[in-house]
Amino acid sequence: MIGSNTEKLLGTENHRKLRDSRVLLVGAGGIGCELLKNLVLMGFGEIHVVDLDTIDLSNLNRQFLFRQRDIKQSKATTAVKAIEHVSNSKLVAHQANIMDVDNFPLRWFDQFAIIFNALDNLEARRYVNQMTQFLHKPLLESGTAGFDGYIQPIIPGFTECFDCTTKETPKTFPVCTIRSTPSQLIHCIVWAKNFLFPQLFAPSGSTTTEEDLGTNNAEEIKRIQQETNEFHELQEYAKAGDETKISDIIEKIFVHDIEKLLKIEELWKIREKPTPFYNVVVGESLNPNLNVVWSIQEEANAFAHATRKLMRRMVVEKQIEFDKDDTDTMEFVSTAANIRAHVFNLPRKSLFDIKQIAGNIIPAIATTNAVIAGLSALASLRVLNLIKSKSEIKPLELNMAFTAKASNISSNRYLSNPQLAPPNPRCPVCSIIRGVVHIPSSALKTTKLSDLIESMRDKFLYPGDISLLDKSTQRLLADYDFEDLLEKTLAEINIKYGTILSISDERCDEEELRSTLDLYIDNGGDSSNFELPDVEVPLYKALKAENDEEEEEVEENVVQQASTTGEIIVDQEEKSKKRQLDDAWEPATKMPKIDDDSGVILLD
Amino acid sequence: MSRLSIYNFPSKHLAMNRFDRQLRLWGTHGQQRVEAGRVCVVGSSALSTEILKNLMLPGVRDLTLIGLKSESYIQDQFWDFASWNIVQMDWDANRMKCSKFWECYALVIITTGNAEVRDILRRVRMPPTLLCRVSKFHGFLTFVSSEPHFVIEAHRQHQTADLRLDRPRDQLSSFYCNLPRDPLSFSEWPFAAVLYQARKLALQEKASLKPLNREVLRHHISLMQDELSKNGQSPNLSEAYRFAYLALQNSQHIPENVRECLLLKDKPCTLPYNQNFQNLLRALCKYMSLPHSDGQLPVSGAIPDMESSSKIYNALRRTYMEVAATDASIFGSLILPIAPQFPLDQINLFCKNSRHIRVVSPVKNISTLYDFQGPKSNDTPPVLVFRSLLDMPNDETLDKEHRWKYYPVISAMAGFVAQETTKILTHQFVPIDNTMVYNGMSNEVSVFRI
Repeated sequence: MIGSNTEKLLGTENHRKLRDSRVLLVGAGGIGCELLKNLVLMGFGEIHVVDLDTIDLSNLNRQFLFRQRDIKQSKATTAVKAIEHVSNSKLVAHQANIMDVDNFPLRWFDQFAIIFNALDNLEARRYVNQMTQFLHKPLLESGTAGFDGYIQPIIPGFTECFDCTTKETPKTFPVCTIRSTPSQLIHCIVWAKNFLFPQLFAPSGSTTTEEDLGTNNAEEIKRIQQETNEFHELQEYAKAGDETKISDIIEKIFVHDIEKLLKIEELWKIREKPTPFYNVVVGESLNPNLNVVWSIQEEANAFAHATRKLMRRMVVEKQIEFDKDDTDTMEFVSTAANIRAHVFNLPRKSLFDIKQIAGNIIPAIATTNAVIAGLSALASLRVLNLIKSKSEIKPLELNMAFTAKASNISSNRYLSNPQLAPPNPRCPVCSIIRGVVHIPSSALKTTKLSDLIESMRDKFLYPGDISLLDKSTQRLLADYDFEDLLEKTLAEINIKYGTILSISDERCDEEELRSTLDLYIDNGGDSSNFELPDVEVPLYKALKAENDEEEEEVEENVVQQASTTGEIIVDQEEKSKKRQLDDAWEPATKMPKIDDDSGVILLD
Repeated sequence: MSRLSIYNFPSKHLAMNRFDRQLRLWGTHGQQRVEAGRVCVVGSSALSTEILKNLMLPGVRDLTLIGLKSESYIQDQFWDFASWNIVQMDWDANRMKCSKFWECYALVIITTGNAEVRDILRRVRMPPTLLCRVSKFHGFLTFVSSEPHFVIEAHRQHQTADLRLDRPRDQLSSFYCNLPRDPLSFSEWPFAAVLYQARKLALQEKASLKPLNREVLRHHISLMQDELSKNGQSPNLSEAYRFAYLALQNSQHIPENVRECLLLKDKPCTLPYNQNFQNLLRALCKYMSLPHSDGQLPVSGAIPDMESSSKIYNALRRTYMEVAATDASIFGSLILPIAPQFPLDQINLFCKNSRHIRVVSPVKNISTLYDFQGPKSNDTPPVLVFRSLLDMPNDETLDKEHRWKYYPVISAMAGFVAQETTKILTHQFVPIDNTMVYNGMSNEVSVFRI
């Protein structure tokens, strides 16, 4: 039934093309489940589904291929199982991370006619975008947040790529604000989740003493470092499961540590002083309503309650990670944040609200996902030029689509559909020339870095000083005064399949320079040696140093313009938020992140 | 029927419950409405199945599907109707020509163009109804109801802060007047206090000959900055500078959306929600005529975040909340004589949102829809698409070639229909007003009123 339907719609020729197409769906979550169903019912020949995640109770309000009994099972596998008995397509499930180079080398992506992104995080979106740029594959990007959603077809070389517009990155805070001078509830939440919780229950997350704390106050720096050391004692309590120590823990973090902060007078000249949480007597009564702000006594009771439960689990589990859907960890973080807010005279919030902030929860409903998956599936027929009655559509005649916030309908903007923009000439991703180096694994062990560089110079015409960077790890491999690695083999310096090398022309005083070239190292090739791609690297006019500043400004304008393309729904103030849309944005890794280098704490 | 509600469980279950991600859109009270709303879908097709799925997922518990014998749609096995608890029945003209049959439903969704269904339902008094169809590439959706649809929580994306600086309640003005006044403490004032002060100074100086404007206010804010420190910008004063327009609001102005609602306060309505809402509107009229209200709507109580000392900010927040609580309790004393035992949480919700209440006027009845000819002379394409879809015979009378539909179009339309359904059931967000046409060829959505 599925086949005959589509054949009538597309015509025999196009239908045959569709049946011969292999497509990739990255993500089997909210949009992914819907999209998989649409792709199956449209009759694509072969569909691969990749998702690393497992099913959670909170997915079941929208991911219709999953049932209660499937909780903790693989999303990709379960989704395929749920639909394969009605499918005329070959379905392949991969429970894996799409960024895993060993599982999914670049050439693996090359087998697909089109790639659908139904992802929940920026990192993986960027990665797939980059792969499609290497391969010149069409990509259908999509995302939702509550009633908002978007689709964006990306045709490499012809249209804007995912990174042509700036995307919102996670908020960061200086360490000192988190550790000694919180001024908003969110600082207390970050403290509880990214500092206090791992200190007690996931002791591997070490805090170095060398980090930049974002303050120059010597006394404050000393205190922060002391405090870190003092926590070792508390860790021992947590590990030993000694529940009699819970009141000591409360005393230590909400009284003694605060008293010590108060002694650093410099801090409180321009700030309101905190008030230590004296004389806490932990009681038994717990407030069952998670939607209201509890009394401070109820917070203290619940804090003790959650700590006790976590201590008991520590005996068995040895280490516990924060997870917003793990009630004990969530209650611990929420109560600790609220008690700290109380100490610093900041407004508190309900557990329900704190969960949204700490877990970075983006609201998600079935209906928006259904709309977006429908639009995405239909757009794929346009991108592949499979619609019978339509003549060929040029990339820039394709549309993206945004669904508007429900309440904006009165302005007749249920959905806006701007045409795609051309690539941003200053895009850090798609403006770069790219190619693939094929190299048999034996040659990795025999080829010296200098051999590779010399061949690249000859083939792509870099006559003078160059620099070579390993983009995957951001490490410098060679430049005019760093030649230590030249005589090593590629294997010795850890260049492997999946590595992206970036070669730049570093000559001074030249009017024209060769553009930067990115090269993906991949298996294959017919000879025993490496094979460089046949790409032409153009020249560009070198900019004099004094022009740099002016250029920066221009760049900002360009990016601004690009990000406003077709933006009618969201007005000025909200602009920065627009691209935060996500299919239930969940961080790729649930580990708390403390970024040691930059001295900021990431709220992931 | 009594049901075991997930909300009666201890809190732990709520914390991890399956609806967490959508509670963040419409709250537990919205979710209760979703779960309590009985919805009936007429017509059995891929479209109606997709709609049912999209309603089952967010938690609508009582779903009915009325199929037509002539329909040949085969339900694919992955549509797990058994686990969705869907009541299935066949179209029965005798039974379904009485309005009694329909009145138990909060919403009816008609997905079929079947002539008998159309002819019978246009003569029956129906509950609020969504009518929708899809063809190959197009789809439409119309909201039909004999009564207006009221919304308390419109969830507008951009709300201006409700500060009432022009005519503050006594409690607020005494708060603002009693802040520490030395120039050094200016840096601790929240911007609302700065604006109040700037406004006061400006009025004293000008003897109110010329109207107050942003420039005058900003001038006074700069003077305060100078008193504080000649160099540098205090963040709270920059905020005051930026939000100067908030001191120029006319708190006695009643927004158009509120006046539209008030006009309907005595229109005969039978839907329980509407009767409740009209009681609130009547109480609002009384409230506005009290000296206490000063011709202003109840204060919402919510204020935006402001740069300031947390002590002063917390006190300010408390004061606004207290003022809002007073307004709500006076409002409550007015509604109780009209409607005894009116739920307190609804009174508070209404007062909090009184500036943003909305009314949508659906198409009056199905006949109006079929009688709609559109502006004949200059029919715009969406109206033409709508007419052709409305007049399109049902699948069983079409030849095969015209029956095929693009599945993605069905999927997207079913998403739109279910989305509007949840808005109608929760009375949150503003539903379609009142007809929407989707053109899958150009990927355009048009909205117009019939």
